Amino acid sequence: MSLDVELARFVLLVSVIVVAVLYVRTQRVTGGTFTPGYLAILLFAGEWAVLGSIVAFTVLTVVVVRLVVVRWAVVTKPWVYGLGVVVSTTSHAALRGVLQLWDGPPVLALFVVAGLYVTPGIIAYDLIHQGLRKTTAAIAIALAVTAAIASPVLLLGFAPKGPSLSFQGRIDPDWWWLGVTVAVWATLALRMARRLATAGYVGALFLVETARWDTILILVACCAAGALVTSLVVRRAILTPRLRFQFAVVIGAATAWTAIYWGQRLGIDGATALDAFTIEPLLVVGLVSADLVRARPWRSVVGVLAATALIVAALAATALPPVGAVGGVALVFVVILAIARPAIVELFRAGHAAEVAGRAAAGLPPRA
Amino acid sequence: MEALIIPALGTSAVLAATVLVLVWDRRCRRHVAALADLSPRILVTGTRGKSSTVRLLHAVLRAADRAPWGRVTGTVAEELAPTGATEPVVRTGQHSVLELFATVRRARAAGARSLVVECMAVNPELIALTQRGIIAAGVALVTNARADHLEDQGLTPAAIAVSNAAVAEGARVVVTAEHDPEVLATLRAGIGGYGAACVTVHGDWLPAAVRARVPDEHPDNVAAVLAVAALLGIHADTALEAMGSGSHEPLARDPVTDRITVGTTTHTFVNLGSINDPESTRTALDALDPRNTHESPGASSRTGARRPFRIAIVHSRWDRPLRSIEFAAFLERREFDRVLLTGAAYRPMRRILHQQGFARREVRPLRTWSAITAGALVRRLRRLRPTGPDVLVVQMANVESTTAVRIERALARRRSRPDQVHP
Repeated sequence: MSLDVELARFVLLVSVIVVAVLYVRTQRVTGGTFTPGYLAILLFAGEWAVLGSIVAFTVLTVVVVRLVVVRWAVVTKPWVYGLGVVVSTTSHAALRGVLQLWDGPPVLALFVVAGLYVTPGIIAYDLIHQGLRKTTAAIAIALAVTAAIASPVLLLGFAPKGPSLSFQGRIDPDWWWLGVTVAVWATLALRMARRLATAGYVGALFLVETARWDTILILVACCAAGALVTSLVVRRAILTPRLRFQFAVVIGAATAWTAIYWGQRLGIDGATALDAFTIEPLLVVGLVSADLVRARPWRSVVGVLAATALIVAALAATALPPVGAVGGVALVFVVILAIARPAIVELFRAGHAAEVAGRAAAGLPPRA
Repeated sequence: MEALIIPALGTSAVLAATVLVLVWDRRCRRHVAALADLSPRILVTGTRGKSSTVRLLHAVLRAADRAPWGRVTGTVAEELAPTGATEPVVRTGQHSVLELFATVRRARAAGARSLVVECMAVNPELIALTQRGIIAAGVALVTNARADHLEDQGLTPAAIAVSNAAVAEGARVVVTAEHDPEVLATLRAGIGGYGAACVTVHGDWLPAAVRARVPDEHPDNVAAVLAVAALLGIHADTALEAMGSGSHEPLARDPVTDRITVGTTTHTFVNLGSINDPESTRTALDALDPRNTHESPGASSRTGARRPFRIAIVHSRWDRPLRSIEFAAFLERREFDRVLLTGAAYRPMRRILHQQGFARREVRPLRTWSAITAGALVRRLRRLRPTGPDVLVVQMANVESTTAVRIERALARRRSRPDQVHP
């Protein structure tokens, strides 16, 4: 992969602006705010296999959610969204875990790996929610506009000569599939049961990857600045929750890129280290900014720390002998299910309340 | 040159982000300025009767020469011009309260001087945003609070009342036709919490002479509209006169959509429209067929009418699973003989229906992978082995259900075929 880091960041920022404009103009969503940018980067990088995988896992997720999840269980919209991401991530992780027994770990940049796991779930949700035609058209439009803006930079030879995309995180590539699976399950549990914010599905994973105090300090400053600017906009303008999220992402990503650029110019190592993670800092700062504006800051801090702890615990367990590793990872998933339990109980209670309401309208007594 | 590329790209992207924020801010300010030309502004929310109430209010404001622009989002989303003409709302994307920006623009362009809008939000945060930021209505109306939209508004009518009370944010007066004392008390407390006054009305309080003047409308809606008219200084006579000439919800008049006779059996298709809660469905079913509800198919009632073989088609939306559960718990074996289920929550609904006394063969799925024909639908119904000469097919549908739309289209195609005689 020879795509320049700065160009990838430029493409991402342009794409989230395009997505926000598209939503304001047409109220169409694009399978996730970051999806068109992510797809554009893959397109420029010539990652056709990855693009194909996204399509395949999206189809798989739609089929599982439509024909199994919503038909067999009583699940509300936030659960459908979360379970879509869980299905896409878990199915891909399972496939990856099996395949690498023969192939070895995948050599992919961090952003590709994280996006590849989560993106199909988000696209699948929008396909179910908004419909096939509208969603594919919205993705195509956002992708085309992003590509049209970014292409001249490439075609005219103005591509910057910065570091190319690379993978220098701390998580062993052998266990990436486990890390991302735990991140997604933990996020769903913490969100649904405890109303905690976790910087999207992969924000905590990014924290584990970086694990440098100077880098984290820069990111915290960016998140605070992004949230501050966004809250000023929220106070002035009329923003629906979705639009508020999109504006927070745009502002957060712009803040992060600006801070990283100037940090590097000022010779701060923590800023330079962020080049190893390409678009991930922009993405995470945008997501955290959105979380900070939406909920109380402690919910973001506790949520991210809890998800990080679960990921670290699962990855640490892999260093144990096989039986201990399996037991340790299983224990992490038991803890996640324990965290999620109140939300699952709440779902059953809601189903029961609906049944009682229906019986009452029919003049029947509540069932014992 | 190369050293300048990164800052140039970065600066242009950051500038674009800034422009986006500034443009939106300007649009918001223009929207707020535009609202000043539309007075009074009325926002209608609640569980049932929103669209009908908006139509009635629009008719009343028209009669009072207030040049109203109306917007309903019920069975169909459409806007009502000051001339009385209706225009469908064309949606290019998802349903969003942002659509109301365009509604206000169109209202001003058409020369409207007042605005009456059905609140399309059910989530309390969005209801508050619609009222506070987008419509800023002086008068709000909560028709009632019933067990619907449980996923967004809460699991009890009281919780739903709290959710609907968000419409009072920034309003001077909120009119409600809610009857249940406990729910009403909660609603009043919620409205009072926002500093708005609450006016309670009840259809039963209307004199018989008044009800007789608008016989086709729900008395609660009439009472609520009369209360709003009084607040706006419009005479009750003018309002009552206008209500009789207001537009109506599709399917509000005649729910029977078709009759198909095969051999000696007549299948009567009925669509209850956007019936979203069991209580309202009960009312609609009683109005539709008050005859010996709980007798066997074909049995004669005291009036001599035969009870038809009843098949319910329940269309479930994937995003409203609790509504599906409500309907499954509502359907009684003694009232319906067979149930066809389409869409989501099939298994949980089937389980509840079995508990209600339906046998396994009496509850079947209805899957339509593509467009269907009326003939194919009838064949599917006949596989349920109905007995007796009359089969009543009751669709409990929603505008969002693909299968419901396909069935309606199939019946409409059949009606439009000139070579077939309508039975």
